[in-house]
Amino acid sequence: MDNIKLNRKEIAILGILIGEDCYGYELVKKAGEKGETLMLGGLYNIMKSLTKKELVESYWGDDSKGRGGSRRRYYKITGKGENAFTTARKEWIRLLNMNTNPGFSL
Amino acid sequence: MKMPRSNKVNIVKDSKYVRTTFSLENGSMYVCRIYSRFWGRTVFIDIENAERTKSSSVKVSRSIYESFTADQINMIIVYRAKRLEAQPYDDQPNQIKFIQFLIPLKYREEITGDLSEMIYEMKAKGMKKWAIAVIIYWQLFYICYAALFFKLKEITGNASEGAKEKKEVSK
Repeated sequence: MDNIKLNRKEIAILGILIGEDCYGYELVKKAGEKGETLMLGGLYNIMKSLTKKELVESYWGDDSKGRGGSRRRYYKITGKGENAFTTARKEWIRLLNMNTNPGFSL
Repeated sequence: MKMPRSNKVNIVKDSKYVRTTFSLENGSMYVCRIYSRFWGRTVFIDIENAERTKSSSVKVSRSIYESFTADQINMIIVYRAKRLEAQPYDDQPNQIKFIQFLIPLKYREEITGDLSEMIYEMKAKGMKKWAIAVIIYWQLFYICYAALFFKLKEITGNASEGAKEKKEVSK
């Protein structure tokens, strides 16, 4: 499998999308709850990058309350995305463990 | 605080700024603000529900406003409030229509929808209008920045790797 490089924000977004399909503003809110501050402009950049890497795909939903008649665009994680998330998370955990347990004593 | 339970809105015509609360027959509360702008030439009558999710504004020239009696102004306000009450929320107009041209066409529907939802939630929380405007303009500025300088492209890649590749290409 290709080694896809993901940054912290991309991993956070993939983590949210694993649970359920979300639209843009919902992703910003959920990321905020998890302590990852995102702005809409930044989010669309990240989503475009993830779509380009084929980790995420999007589809149009319906318009609902308070959207001025605009539809929601939902993002859905792909199988490739799930694999990339698992690999990236393992890598992050390994790096965090390395930081906390340097493996030598002073 | 005791709220008035009548259709009658107490209007003091002579004061420059009036803010009054009233309720319709079904009990829903509305806030009415009357103020003048443009050196006193134009009078605005704003009507908003207590949850701040629906609003309506009437703009009249000072001379026309002064020709109305207090009862006529009352009628206008109550009529507007009733019309708002009957209006489902989905009929609310797109609130960022006049600055839509700043948003890239490909993302326009998505971004407009997300920003509208953001405005709706902030209004429901009871935030001040100027605070909402600041936040929305800041978000829009960032979207325009991303669209102009990065063309909404990938900006999250490994910068050092990109630099290495460039060096190799130049060699």
